[in-house]
Amino acid sequence: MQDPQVYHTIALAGVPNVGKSTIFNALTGLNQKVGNYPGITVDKKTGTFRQPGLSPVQIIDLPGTYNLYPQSEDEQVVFRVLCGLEPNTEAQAVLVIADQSNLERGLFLASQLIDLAYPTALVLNMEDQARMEGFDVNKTLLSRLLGVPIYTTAADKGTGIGELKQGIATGRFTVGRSGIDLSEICDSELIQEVQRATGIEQPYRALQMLKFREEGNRVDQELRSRLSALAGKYGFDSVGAQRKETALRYEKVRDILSKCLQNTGQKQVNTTLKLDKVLLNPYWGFAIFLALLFVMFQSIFTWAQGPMELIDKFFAMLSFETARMLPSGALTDLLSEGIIPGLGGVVIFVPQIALLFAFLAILEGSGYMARAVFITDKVMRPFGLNGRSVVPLISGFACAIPAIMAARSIANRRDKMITIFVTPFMSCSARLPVYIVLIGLIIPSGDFAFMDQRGIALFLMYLLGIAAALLSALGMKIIMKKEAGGTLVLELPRYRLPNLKTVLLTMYEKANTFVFEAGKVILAISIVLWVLASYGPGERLDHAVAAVQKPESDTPEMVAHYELSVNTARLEASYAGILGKFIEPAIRPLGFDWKVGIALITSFAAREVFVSTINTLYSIGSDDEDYTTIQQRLSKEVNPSTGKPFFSEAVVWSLLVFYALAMQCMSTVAVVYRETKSWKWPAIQTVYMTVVAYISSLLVFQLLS
Amino acid sequence: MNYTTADTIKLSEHAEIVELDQSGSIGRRLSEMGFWPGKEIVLLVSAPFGDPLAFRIDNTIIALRKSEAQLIRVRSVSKAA
Repeated sequence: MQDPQVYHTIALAGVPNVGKSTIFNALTGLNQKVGNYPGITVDKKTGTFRQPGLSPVQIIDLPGTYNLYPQSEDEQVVFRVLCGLEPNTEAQAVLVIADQSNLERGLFLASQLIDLAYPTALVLNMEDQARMEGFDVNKTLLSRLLGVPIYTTAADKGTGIGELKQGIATGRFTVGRSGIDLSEICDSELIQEVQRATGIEQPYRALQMLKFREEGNRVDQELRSRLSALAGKYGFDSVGAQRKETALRYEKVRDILSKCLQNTGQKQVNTTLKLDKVLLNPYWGFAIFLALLFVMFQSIFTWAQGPMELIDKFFAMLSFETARMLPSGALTDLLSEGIIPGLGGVVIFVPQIALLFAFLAILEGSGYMARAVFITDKVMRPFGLNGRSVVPLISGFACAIPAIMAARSIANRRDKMITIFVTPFMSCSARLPVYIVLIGLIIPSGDFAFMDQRGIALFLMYLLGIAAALLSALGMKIIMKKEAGGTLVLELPRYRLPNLKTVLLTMYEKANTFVFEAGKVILAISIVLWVLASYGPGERLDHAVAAVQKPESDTPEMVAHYELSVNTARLEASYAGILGKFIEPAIRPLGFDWKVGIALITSFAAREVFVSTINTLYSIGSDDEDYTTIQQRLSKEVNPSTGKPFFSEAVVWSLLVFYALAMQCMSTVAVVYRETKSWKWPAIQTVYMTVVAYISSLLVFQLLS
Repeated sequence: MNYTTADTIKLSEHAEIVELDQSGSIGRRLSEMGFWPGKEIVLLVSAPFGDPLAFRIDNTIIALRKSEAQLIRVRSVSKAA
């Protein structure tokens, strides 16, 4: 091949808000993969850069960080990858992205990266912006002072990307000139000893290892104690060394900039300042934010409706056709009633996830997201949350799954965990059918004052969810008081037009991650639930079906009635039915009988399954959408011991409260597992929510009956 | 001398950083983000309820909570608009 010195693994690094993702997308397009760094919740984004006649180059998109000091998880990833502590992720060269109109911070990171002694190249992005704001950089001089090749791009517009690609293809990376003299920070002999102990040649990499030897237990025990012994011997203090290094480095960066940066104009960030006058206005800033959220939430709610119905119909058809085409038997049943609907239950969330993340990518890309965090931070803080929690919580009204995925942007661990923990309390769209059926049962339509009575009841249910979320957050804050809350230190980037490609790729990536990671768990649980609802011990099911009275004639109505009765009998005799009867003593104090028990069990798959289970249990056979039929049938159900209607106000309120507060959503469980990388959190969360729901329903039922 | 901390400066007031408390990790983070003695900061806007605060430093806007801004000692240079 013609590329003997091309680097095959290149790490992309840079401070936040410099357009790193845009460059990553421009280089790799759809050839991207999202994976995991072991033991950390940061996504590992890699992509493949292909050029004709060139063997593929792997690009690692490192999270944006201001430095190489591992404080947050993002910084830990960058530190580990570039210090060779991350197995299977070894960079051969580093591409540093900096914002040309804000070079000081960019060069600070760049000089650290250059000192790590990787073959490096520097990209000065946002060239158009910098020129508009009057920044003029002498690139030849800068390149000479740093000792690395420099590219200028305006990645949003695609300017300069061609040359950058060419540079990567021809391996134009060089080991730059060391930025600071390490002997000013610590004893040169110490560095040499660390180099010998670790086998790391590059002095700055060795120093990093020494400073952060305790970091994440990545350094093995023996080496760690050797390094600690060395630090003791030379009286080395990591914090002091880091502070000294920061000071030296800034001095160096300023010195370089004084030579090659000219600021000719005064038009800096002007548009942004003007926009902020409006968007961050103490009075309407909040109103604008709420209006934006409202539009976003409404759009997710309404725009996702159509595609979701299509997906639903498609899988129903697929399941029907499978059952018709394949010979009947257990395997066909598993396929047509277990696996296909299970897959449908995964794919059905894709429209909502894609839409939410489209909005989030637009908010993030335009620079507004940081402002939303800014104006809500104070309000959220008493609850152990921060400004970054607002978007996940509000998105929870549409669906907890994308909402929990959106909590990833919260850097502080405690705040992120609390947000993930309480988001499922927000009343999601899947609760709506349950609310509508149940509220319709006990509350007559009609107006109270100016408002529809049923509407008021529905609103109360939403308030209940919000209250439960905030109170739980408060409780968790008290329990987790040992863990430090987040800091803010947040850059409010310039406003810019969001990049379409970035928006589309975000939608694709998030949907993809959900389907392939959380989807596995959802599919598995739905198959288990299907088995529970379709099989029973021994011949029980057959006996139950045989006991159903055969139709007297074969008129369509009679046959339909017979089939409905058979389904009811089967469900009653199934494992789910047995379980429903088994838990009846436990749920009786809430006013529920074994039929409701079955619905509770089957609707753990997803809350809206409650409606279809009720449909089967009471042999209603209506369309799921036809709530009035269900309501009519349910209102006729009589409590055998009292002779009064079974679905009394007390029972219905108790059920409503239960559905508002209980977890009842395996997809949420799966996504919490995926986001926290452990079963501990989803398990605690499910138990907690179920207990809260149980106690609340108990109180409601006992008070009302 | 007229020293104060950055959380107390007024809207649109220009101030010069005199000293940064770097004893904790937040202080160190601030130094990495450019809050250095000698630099000038301006309070651009405060969020509803007066916290956090958005400062202009160099060519960027950085939002800090009041507790974080307290780590920055400043001297007013009164070029207020």
